[in-house]
Amino acid sequence: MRWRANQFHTLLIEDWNEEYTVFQPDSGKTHFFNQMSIQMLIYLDQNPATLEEISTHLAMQFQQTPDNSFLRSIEKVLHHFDTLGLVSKLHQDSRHDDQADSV
Amino acid sequence: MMIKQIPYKEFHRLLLNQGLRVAIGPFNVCVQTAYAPLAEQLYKLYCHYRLVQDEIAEFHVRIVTERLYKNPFRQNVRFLLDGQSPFNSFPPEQALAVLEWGINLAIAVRVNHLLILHSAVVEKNGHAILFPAWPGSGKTTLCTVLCYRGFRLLSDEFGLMDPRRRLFLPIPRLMPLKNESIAVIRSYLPEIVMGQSIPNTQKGTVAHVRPPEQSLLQSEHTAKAKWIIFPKWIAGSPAKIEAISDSEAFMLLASNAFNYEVLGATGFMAVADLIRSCDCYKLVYSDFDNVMDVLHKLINEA
Repeated sequence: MRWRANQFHTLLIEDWNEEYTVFQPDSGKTHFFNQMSIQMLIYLDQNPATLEEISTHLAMQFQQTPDNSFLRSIEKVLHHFDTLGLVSKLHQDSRHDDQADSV
Repeated sequence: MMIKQIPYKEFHRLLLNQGLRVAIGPFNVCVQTAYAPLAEQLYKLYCHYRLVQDEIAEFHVRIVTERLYKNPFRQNVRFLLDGQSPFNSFPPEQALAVLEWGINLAIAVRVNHLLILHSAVVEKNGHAILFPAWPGSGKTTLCTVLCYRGFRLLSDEFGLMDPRRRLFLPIPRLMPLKNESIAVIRSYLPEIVMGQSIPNTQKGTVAHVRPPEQSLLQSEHTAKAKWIIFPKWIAGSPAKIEAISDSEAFMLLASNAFNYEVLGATGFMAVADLIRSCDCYKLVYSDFDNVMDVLHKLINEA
C-alpha cells in the first residue's frame, strides 16, 4: 500500500527554526510539526510511497537506523496524518489512474 | 462630548429612552436600562467615555428587570443583546457585571473582521505590549497597575488586531478585578476610581476599575506590537522573564484567541506576522514594583 500527501500545495507553512506551524485550509486547523513530519509530507507530495520507502528515506535523511521501532513510529505518524486528512492511502487502481494522467 | 459633560439627569434620560450611545474603542454601543442603581454606577465609571451622536451603534444592549416566577416579590436583571437574551437572569446587584460581560460577549462572538486575541494590551513609547493569558493568570490586575503607572491602556481583555494593517486597536473598558485582587489594587493604587464590590458572581467578588482618562482620550491611536509576554502571577515568586521560542508563542497565542479559527488563513498569517515582529517571553511575578522594573528594563533595552 502506498501513501500520498493530500493537497500539499494548499498548506500554509511557517518555519520557526526547524519547527513548523501548518495551516490546513481544508479543515481550517493549524498543526504544529517537527522537521521530520514536514519532510514526510514533502516526500509524499513528490513520491507516493510505501511505509517502508518512507521510513528508508527519512532514516537516511535524519541519520536514523531504519529498524522496526523506527518503522512503527513512522507508521504512527502516517495514521495521525491520515486522521487529519493530510495524507491518504493510494489504492492500486488510483495509482494507475495517476500514472495515466501524468503521461 | 464626554459623558461627564452632561448632567446626570440627561444621562439617565438617555439610558431610559433612546439609549446612551457610547464609543468603546472602534465600536459604538447603545445601552438602555431603567434600573436606576446601574445608571448611577455607569455615570461614575463611564464618565470619560465619548458620547456618540448620529452614528450607527454596532451593539444594542439592555439591562431589564424582571420578576421571578417562583418569587414575584424579588426582581432579577437580564441582559439583552439586540433583544435576545444570551444569559440567565441575575440578582440585581450584579447588573453592572452582567452588562460588562454581555458587551464582552457581543464583541467576542460578533466581531470577525479583526483578529481577537485573549490578551491585555498596553502601549509604551509607541509600541504595544501584549499580555495574552487564560482567565485567572492575573492579566487584568497587572494591566490595571501598568495603565495607572505610565502605560497606555488598549485593553485588559481583547487584543484587537487589524489583520491587514497589523495594528492593534484600543478598546479600553472597565477592568473587572476579582476577589483578592480588589484589596490588593485598592492598597497599591489608592487614587483609582473603582465601582462597588459585587459579591457572589460566577467569578466570585468583582469590582470594576475606571480606565484612565488619558487612555480613553487616545482610544483612536492604534499601535504595532513589539513584545508578547505571557504573564502568570505566582504567590511569592520573584519577577522573572524568559524568552520563549517563536513556535511556542505561536501555538500559545493562536490557542488563546477568540476567533482565530473563524478567520482561517487570515488568522494564521496575522499570527505568524505578529510573532515575527515581536519578542516573545514568559513572565512570572508576584510583586508589582518588581514586575515594573523588569518591564522598564526590557523596554529601555529595546
